[in-house]
Amino acid sequence: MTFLEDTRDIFKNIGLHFRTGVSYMLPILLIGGFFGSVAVIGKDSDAEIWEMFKNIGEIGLKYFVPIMAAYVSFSIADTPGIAPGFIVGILAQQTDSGYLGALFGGIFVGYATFMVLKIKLPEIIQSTWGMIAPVFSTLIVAFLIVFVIGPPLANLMTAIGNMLHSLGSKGNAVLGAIMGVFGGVDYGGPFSKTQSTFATAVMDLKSYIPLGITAAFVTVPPLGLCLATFFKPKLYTKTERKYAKSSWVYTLVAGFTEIAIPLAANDIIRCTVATILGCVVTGVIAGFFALELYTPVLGIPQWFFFNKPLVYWGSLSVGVITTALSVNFLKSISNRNIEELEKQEESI
Amino acid sequence: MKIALITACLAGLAHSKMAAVAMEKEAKRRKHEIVIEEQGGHKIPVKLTQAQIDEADVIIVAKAVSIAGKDRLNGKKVLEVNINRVLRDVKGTMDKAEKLFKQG
Repeated sequence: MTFLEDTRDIFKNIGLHFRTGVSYMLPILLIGGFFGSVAVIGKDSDAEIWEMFKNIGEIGLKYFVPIMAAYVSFSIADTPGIAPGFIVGILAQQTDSGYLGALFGGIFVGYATFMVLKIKLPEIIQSTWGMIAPVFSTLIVAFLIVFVIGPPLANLMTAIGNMLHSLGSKGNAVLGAIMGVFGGVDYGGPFSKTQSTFATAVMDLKSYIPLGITAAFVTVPPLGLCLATFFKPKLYTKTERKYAKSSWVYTLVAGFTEIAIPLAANDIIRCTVATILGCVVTGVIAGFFALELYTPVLGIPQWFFFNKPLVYWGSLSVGVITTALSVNFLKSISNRNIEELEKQEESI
Repeated sequence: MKIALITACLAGLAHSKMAAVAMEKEAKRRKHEIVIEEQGGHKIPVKLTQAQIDEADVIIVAKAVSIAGKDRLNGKKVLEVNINRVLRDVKGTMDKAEKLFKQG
């Protein structure tokens, strides 16, 4: 039964398909967010150019959803999946089921296209089938989106939107704490990506605080661990100190969490406890003061797009210092043998 | 042995680069020839030419997202691996590739 095997294969790799969609979605959000933020500068001016910026921004912030659906479908059914995915994505958006609707729509339409294309037909029709198959899959999934799974998803999206918008500063602080745990726990791995995807997904609901929170703590782990090596160099090996010296600048410029990995790799548990603490602290502060970011960018470009730059720098520094102090404290009460580690490094 | 490596990660910022660098080092150590293509959301596309792919004995696809241009690899020996596993175990991945090559 290849049918069952294919089905199992597709749904076993659901994470891969979803990540592919997100991967193609991010650049759209980036362009849209960039122009949208630039347009804010000229909001009191009548010059047409600001209108153009605003339009580009709105296009980007609107169509990232169908692009994601299109490429989730592409990941499942290859090139024939793109068009049905795109259409189903827009349909989901227009019927208010938004990001979630587009995600499920993309998965289902990719799956349907893949399966419909597999149908064996007489040779003479087979060649045209490639053109007709996506029409069928679109039809099936469009019904599903509009009449079956759409309405409950639309309700769910409205509920999430209302909840996010009515959180208030305490609620946002709690949200920041939860996101901080996810962001600090695995240095840009699946958990971090889950929370950053959540933050970009809710941009579809015009909620920008989660992205602000994510952006505030994204550099906390690498900066915190670097700073820690300057506070108490004795607790670190030569290679670690050298890496820290060169990497903090890179962190500020490029701004992603993965840079911390070499510093944490040799002592993963203590470092992770410290980075979670730092990220939670930053997340709570950023959430409490309603830090918003409209563009999913990293590094230097980020600095210009926060609605409250002071909150950003404040929350970042508190989080970084928390991480640095706690990791040094944890290392100082441990029996980590630096001399032996350095010997090992030399032998490599 | 000639290797063509394709790495792909979510944003195209960190993992794809890290895997590429690690694998390149390991390949040089074992005296294999290697050409690399990195993919991902924000990546400047550096594509391997069809000739480079045809020449390669083994193609390693290290991915966290589906790669673009799968049809270029038709009929080649392809080793598909999770990019995180590559980062954790570079040597093991290279062993697997060599084994695939020796299978004839």
